[in-house]
Amino acid sequence: MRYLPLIWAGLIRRPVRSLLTFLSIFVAFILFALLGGISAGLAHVREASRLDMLYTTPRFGAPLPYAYAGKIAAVPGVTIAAPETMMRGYYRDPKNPIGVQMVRPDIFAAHDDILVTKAQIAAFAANRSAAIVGVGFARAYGWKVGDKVSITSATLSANGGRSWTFDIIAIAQDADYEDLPFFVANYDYFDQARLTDKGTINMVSVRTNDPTRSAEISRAIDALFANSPAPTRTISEKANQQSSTQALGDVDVLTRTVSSAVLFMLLFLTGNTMMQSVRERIPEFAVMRTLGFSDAGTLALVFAEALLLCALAGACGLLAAKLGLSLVRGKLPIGMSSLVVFSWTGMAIGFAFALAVAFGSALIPAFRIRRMNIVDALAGR
Amino acid sequence: MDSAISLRQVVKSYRRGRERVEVLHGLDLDIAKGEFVALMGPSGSGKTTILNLIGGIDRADSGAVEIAGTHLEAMSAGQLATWRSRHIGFVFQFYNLMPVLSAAANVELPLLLTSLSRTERRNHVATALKMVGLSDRALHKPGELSGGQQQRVGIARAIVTDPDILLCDEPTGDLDRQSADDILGLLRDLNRHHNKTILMVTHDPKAAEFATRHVEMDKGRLAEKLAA
Repeated sequence: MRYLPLIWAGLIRRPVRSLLTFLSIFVAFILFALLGGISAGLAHVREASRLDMLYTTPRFGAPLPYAYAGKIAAVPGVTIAAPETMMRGYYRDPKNPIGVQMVRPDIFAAHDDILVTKAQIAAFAANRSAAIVGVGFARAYGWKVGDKVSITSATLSANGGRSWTFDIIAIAQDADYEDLPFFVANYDYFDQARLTDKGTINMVSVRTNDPTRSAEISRAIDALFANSPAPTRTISEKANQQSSTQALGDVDVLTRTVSSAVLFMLLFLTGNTMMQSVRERIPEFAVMRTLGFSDAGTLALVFAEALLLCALAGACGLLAAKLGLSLVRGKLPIGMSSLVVFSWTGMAIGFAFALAVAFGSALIPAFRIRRMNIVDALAGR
Repeated sequence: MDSAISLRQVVKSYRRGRERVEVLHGLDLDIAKGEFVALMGPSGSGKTTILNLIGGIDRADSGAVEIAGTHLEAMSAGQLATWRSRHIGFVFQFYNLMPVLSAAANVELPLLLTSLSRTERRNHVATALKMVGLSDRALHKPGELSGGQQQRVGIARAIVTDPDILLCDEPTGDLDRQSADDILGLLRDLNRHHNKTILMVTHDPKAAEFATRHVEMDKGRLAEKLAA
């Protein structure tokens, strides 16, 4: 602590230069935190996907017969086969698209990551027009339990209408994604009320009893319907996520590349600032050495100065990013905020990078101080 | 004679480009405790080199440099730094103060290397500034002080650790006559009343008059004479 005024004095010697460097590091670490958050979010998506969850979908696009679910349930290794079909539509305005998953109550056994109580499942089963919505949609549209919600869809009802009304009986959260937007409603109600494609489904969610046999079970399911008019394609949730996040995976590479570039840019910028700062103060360091400051002591001052600048600006940038995201989280597109993960571990890693930048940027100036000849420096040589 | 500074057969050379120039040629010098010695001579005669060797910020090629019984040639750079902080006070021609620190903070610098508490350091700084007559300028930055006042701060910094020896490299070289006389009077007081051994490099015969002994240097050798 006794050296802090001395370290601080080194920084405020050129206040504008120090401020600009501080701001550069500050902004860079906001960017670094955002990119790191996106990268962590993508990693979370991959980690959260399961190998024991399979999805059976139409191989060629035509919907599958509802009876497939029962046949799939009979395949050895399958514990649950929950049929579902998707009704696409929008809420009030086509700018608010919603996919309503028409399911049977057993879907909640297959998707136990959706946090619903037994009472809510029972209420869902008892009410034909019941719907359970995710926190993401509820927040976005201000829905609450008891609301009647009308979804406009291209799917015609038996009376020729395009409006489908649901009663929200629960607002649920996904265990892996806080604000995951989802909307589930009763398949039976939908299937009886729709005009076309009755008795068909788009997908069967399949749970297996052994994740290591998922590939084998997938093949067994697809083999069942290989020669039927509606062949299937079954893949694990993990494979499905990998496939659907392939483009996001490229984003992941991009974010890591940009983060690295940002850090290198910072290293050069801060290194240049420290070089200039030390170069200007060579005679002062020589005086300090003359007064009795050791070689190691003066080096420590140079490192401490860089650390103070980078640690302070880096920490401020990381905290600003975390605070900023929490402030705008509600204004992000539905489900987007789940893709940016700011964990304290991530913050600690960011801070460690700030310290590494400080250390790296002080290396060359420290080397220069180390080589300094006191007599020559005092003489201005 | 109780010797404070003793140089024996000291040889020192510097490399200037491709050439090696010998600055001191087997120099012998003794300064007793409590002496105020003015070291004079033309530029390039080796005056500042002697100061640097005695202060332990440079090393002789050969010979012995003994300060109050301590042989400097046997000490490592780290040991020399510690030794300097305890035994030597430096006063520079151009003051060499830290421009962003107040006078008090500049004076406190050598005390940061001690184990003194903050309060003790403040007391020491206050005493040193009082001795040089700058108690009322403690919080002023060097840029807000005159040349003479800055040199007083430099002297306060040199004496704040209560060293045995003060090494002054042309301490009045950048000052007008009046300010120079004030600084020299201050050094004389430190010598007379606080028993500091002072070695002062100067070109100015009037400055040398404040010393108790004159030592003339010429081409790396001594040509000593007694002060008037």
